[in-house]
Amino acid sequence: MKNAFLLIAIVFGLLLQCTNNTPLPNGYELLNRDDSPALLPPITLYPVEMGYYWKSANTGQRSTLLLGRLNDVQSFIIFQNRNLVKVDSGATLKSAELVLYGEYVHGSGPINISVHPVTMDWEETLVIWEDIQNGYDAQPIEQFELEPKSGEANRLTFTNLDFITAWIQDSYHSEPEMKGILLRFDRAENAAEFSSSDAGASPAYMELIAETTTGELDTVNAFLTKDASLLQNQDGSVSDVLNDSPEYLPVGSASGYRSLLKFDFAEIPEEATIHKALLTLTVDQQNSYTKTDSAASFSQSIQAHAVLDDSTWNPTTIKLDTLNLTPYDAADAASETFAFDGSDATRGMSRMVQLWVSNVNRNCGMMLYARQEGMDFQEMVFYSGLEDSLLAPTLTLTYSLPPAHRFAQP
Amino acid sequence: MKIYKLFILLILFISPFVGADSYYSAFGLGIPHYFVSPQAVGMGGAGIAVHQYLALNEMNPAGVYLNEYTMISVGYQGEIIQNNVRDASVTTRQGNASGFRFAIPISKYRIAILAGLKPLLKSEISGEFSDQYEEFYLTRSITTSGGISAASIGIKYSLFPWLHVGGLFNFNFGAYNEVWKTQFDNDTFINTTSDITSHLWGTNAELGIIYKPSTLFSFGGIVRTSSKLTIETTTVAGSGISLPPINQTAVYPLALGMGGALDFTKFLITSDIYMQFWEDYELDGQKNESLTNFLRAGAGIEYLHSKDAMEAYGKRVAYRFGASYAQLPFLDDTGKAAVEYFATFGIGFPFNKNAGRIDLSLEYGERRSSSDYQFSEELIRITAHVTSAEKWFQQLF
Repeated sequence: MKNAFLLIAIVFGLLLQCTNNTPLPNGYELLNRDDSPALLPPITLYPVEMGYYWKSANTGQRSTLLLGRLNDVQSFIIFQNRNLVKVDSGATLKSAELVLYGEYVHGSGPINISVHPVTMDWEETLVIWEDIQNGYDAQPIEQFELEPKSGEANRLTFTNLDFITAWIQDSYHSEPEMKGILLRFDRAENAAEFSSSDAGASPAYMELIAETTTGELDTVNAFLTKDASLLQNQDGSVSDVLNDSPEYLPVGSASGYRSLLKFDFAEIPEEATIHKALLTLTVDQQNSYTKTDSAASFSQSIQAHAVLDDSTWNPTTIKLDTLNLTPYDAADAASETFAFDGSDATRGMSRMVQLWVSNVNRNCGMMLYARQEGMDFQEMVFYSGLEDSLLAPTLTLTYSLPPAHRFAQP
Repeated sequence: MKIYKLFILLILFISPFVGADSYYSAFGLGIPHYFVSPQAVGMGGAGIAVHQYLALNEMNPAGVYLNEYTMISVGYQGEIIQNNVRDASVTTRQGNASGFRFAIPISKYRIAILAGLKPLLKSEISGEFSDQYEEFYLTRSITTSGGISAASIGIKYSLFPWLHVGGLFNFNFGAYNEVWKTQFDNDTFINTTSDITSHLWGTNAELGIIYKPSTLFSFGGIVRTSSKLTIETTTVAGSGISLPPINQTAVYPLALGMGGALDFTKFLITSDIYMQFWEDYELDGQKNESLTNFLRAGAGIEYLHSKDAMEAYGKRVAYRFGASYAQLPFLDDTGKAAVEYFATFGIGFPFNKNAGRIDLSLEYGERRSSSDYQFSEELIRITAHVTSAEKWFQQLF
């Protein structure tokens, strides 16, 4: 009896490991019952709706601080430094410098910087220019002329040491009265990107030299505790207002431009499987700007995100699909076209389209925006095709339909 | 115990060969699994009329002969198939359980309860197709497997020593699964897998009779009623989205069989014919023009020197030979029916003083249709069964 059960167990155990699928050299037609091709001919779609708007972006957690003006965008810098507490309160301040490492400089020439005490509380992760514009002392405590340089430390030497000394004393208070510093300018013809306090290398700091009560000189590097760029789009349009018949589709990092596109998938069967979705846009090279230097070109990373449940694209309430991975790819102003054609980008776009085709997500279109808004001054402008349909964005789909099942035919 | 060890070694030996595709299993519901008894496999599959101890008859419930013993039989079948298509060929392997049978006597020599699980149809095939496009190379492959089995319960009743009847109620069930893969050599495309599964279920009945006018002759006959199968197909498309299920019905057709046996002292000679009316197969009320009736004929002979448990072991080993011919229920694209031929050989090793037997069988055959049809198959089939008689439930009588 015991042996019989052992045999049964062995027999069934062996059955579990006896699967061996070897493709036969032919006979595919026996199984391809509906004689359908593996892939259907690619189909190219054009947008049925387009639009753009701009929004002031908070940059508090970006690794750069932007200062200066480029095209229609200018940026000031705000920062706070609670690390001044590292300076002995009884010491006599001998010098104070703000050290900003230059990441990239657009154009050349000096920027006349004025330093203003901030008079209102602000949060690093929320602050935008519209909050601060009435929250600082209009009377500067210091003025500099800085010709920014990239690849090296840019030093702003304070002469108003009384102000810095008061700031140091204030940093000893648990509820400081001094809210920080605003670096602004009245006019600039160029712009610079500096490392912020969030940068992994060469973060911004203040270098302070003080004489202690024993007569020794003590040097303290006090890293900024919070900082942000205050971006201002000055193209004359109002923020958070949708332009729904645009001639162009801009995507800007500092300007905050975001473009919207919607395609109609009615002619794709719901059961279709999208193998590739290639979104291609024609670049307006005249109005696009990406970084360049003598050795290399820098591209702007553009991300596409599905819009959730808002077919009106109201900029103040628009929501994006954050549950699914979103494609992004690099755009270059020197190229005639930009496409989400990298491996991950194409696959990500395909998955986004699949959710629409399969009616898993409501098709409210997609938003194109700078992957790291507020990181730099780069901007890409694409043709909408309203003036010349040959320049319109295209979405080319390669798809297949499910094979016929075994009982699809008698 | 040595016999058990031999059985285990043989199973381990044949297990690497298990796993086989058949082009013909792409048609209809697949290839019918024809099985009468562990003894019959080595005798060309013939045994409908055999009414013998340890030959636990699955095809004919009237053919179960238990004495006072409860009987269990389990089987295992491995196939090696050389699949030929034009000048190309590939060898595939397949392994399947060959059923499980259980019979309990509740009245000595007269009434027995029968239960079992047996395969009825099987389908296994995988293929690959490649194509060159402008910017990529695409490969589409399919792997399909499945079949239908029957879970049976019934009774065998001996009206007289010369007349036995039996009946089974079958719950037929199974699934066919197809996995389609679409793969690109360009990584901007998404490789996908579509998974299609059809579940089927239904019921039918079987009736069998054994007529033994003398100890020398016996005749048997069976009928399996048709079965209305409910089909539910679910598709998970390559997108990962589940499509709405599709509900259908099919008719698994009626089958009839009959046979005769001559039981000499040391020789058993038997032959069967069997027919299943696949021309009556229907899917949603529509017939399949590529199907024809399944016809099978087989005959075989067994030599067993002695059935006396006290005889020397070598004299209690059974040797079997046989042959079979079948018209498979498939028409090729020239309208000719596919056929298969088998030559069979089997050995029966008794154990525990004839209280059980291990039956090993080897079949060699060919499956083909007209010479114009590009597909043909050469098969080697190895079958192993262990049948054990146990003294359970004897308080019932």
